[in-house]
Amino acid sequence: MPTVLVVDDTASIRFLIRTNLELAGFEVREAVDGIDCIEQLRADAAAGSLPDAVTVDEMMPRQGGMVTVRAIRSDPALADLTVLMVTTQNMPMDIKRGMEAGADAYVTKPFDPDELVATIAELIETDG
Amino acid sequence: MTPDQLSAAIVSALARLVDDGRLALPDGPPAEVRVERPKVKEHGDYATNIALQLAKKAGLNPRDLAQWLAAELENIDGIASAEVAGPGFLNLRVSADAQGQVAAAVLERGAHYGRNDALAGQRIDLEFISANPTGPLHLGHTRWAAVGDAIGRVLEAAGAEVTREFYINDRGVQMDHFGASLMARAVGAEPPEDGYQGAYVGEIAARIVASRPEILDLPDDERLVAFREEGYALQLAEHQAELRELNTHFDVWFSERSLHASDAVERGFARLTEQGRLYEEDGALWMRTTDFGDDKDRVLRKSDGSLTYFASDTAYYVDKRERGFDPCIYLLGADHHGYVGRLQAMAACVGDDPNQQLEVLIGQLVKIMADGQELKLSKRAGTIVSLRELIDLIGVDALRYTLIRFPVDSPLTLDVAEMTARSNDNPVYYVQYAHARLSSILRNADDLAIAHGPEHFDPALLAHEKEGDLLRALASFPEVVARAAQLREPHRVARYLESTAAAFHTFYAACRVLPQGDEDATDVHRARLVLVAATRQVLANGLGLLGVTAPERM
Repeated sequence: MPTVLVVDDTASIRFLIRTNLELAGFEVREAVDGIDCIEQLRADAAAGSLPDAVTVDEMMPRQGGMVTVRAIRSDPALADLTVLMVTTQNMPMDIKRGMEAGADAYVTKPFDPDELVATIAELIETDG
Repeated sequence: MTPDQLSAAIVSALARLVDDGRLALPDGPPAEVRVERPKVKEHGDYATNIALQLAKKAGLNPRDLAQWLAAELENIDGIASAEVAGPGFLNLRVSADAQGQVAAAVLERGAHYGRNDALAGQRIDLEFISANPTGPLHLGHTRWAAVGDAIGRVLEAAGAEVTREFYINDRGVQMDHFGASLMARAVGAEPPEDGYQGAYVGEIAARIVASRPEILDLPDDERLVAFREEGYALQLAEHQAELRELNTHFDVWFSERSLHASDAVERGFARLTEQGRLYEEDGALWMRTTDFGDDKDRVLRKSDGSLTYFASDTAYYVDKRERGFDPCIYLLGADHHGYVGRLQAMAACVGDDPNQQLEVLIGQLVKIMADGQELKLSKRAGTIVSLRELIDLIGVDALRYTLIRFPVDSPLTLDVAEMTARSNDNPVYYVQYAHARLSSILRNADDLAIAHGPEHFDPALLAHEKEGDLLRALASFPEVVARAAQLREPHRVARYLESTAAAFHTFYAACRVLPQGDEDATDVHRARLVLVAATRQVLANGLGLLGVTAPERM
């Protein structure tokens, strides 16, 4: 069963994404911000149980999505992960920067949950 | 009904559940409850996870607690429905009447709407830029000039008393290098190897000689001092003028020399002695920063009797604390990353909690490109673009807004064309244009003599889905400001303005605000004009927090 780490500081968003992913047959883990995400991923890497994909919110306290994606890409143990930025920002300037930071896809909120699931499934399949 | 009012209603509902014995909370009901705008419409107008948060403490099933709360809340005027979702989320719908009142509330508070008391009672010292007076401000300074000023504004809007300080490193060997470089350039010679090479040095030297020709006849020692002091005064005045131009304001320009002229250094040492953190070794005076995680102890006074920069920095921090600031916030450049641990250890050495009284924010580098070339505001050499030239090229509003709208913890590359584009792809243009468009609608209403004051406002008429979206956006502004202040993240205000401008454009496309042709104005038109006026007010207030103008016309 493919696993997704959902990173968002808002509990209801994590729940929303979790519910839709679980209905589609994914296993879901959660992190509450970028620092929690990187800590979990490093522990997962050490245990050999990295998720198949990570969804990262852009605006979070402590460490935002852009810095988190850069941290994932610059850590050799995590660099190959599939990463989606999930964000309310849809200015071309933001999408460009999200992709430059190393996101594989950029999904804007309010999002269509089916589309999110389809995008994750497609990215995992492409990578896998 | 605003998120604050909903929060109060939920707190009251919790208190009733406690009173009737169904809910036992060891610490009583919380003082406030976080209410969010859900990201999917099916989840209602607002949502809260308070039942999930409290259920464990109360030994209850979260869904049961959510059901009880829903039943209580549905009896409250203004709440149309309360539904339990998932493991215990509560989704709320507000009646059109209660929601529409938000527009009137915005207009009633006017320029004060958004101000809140999240940080009331705090006296905050905000130190930023603190560039050496030996050369122009560079791009890193420019990022902090915009963001630091905006942080000051949001902190004040959240009720804090804020003092913005610029620390001037006007003491020490780099000042002499600067003086020697000016002196050399004044007679057409090359600056010394460890001096300042930029073309600006020659320009300042020429200005000094022009205003004080006799300076060249002074004996060597006096000439060096005279060039140093004249150059210092000119460069500092330049920083001050440029920052004023960028709409960045400081309350205190704090000279390092003044620190040494007073007894501040001795007071700092006295505090460290009291705390038992000073010791002498090899003729030098040391601070035992390793007691608090620093990798080595730090010298404050060298064996030759001279004081280190760190002695000044310590004295300055103690001085700030004695002036009553708590916390002291430092905005530092990326090159100061290694300095953070030392500052925290120093705060602990003087007896403070470095996680409370001291706060350090690090801003990553910013690059600005023009036609594929990087613009440089480098101090020592190379092609220098002054902050003033950058302002001329980009404009104060676009420069400030674009620098502020990105979190400072990530490096930034911006393009002049992108920042100055007059298109909806440019965030500053998008928000300012929305404000200008709102202003134009209100001007047209005035031209048509359509009254739209509060006496003509029936909030229940704002029942369209897009009106609801816009009203909820307006209602969340105070919370966005509070959060931006608490997290020191003014980019949240910019992003909020962009999404509110988007909500306005969607509303305007779906709802006719002004009558067409010979049609008479109706109460719906009047109610929508109140919503337009409230939206304009919120955009103006938000832009004001970023130090960006809200144009009436574009």
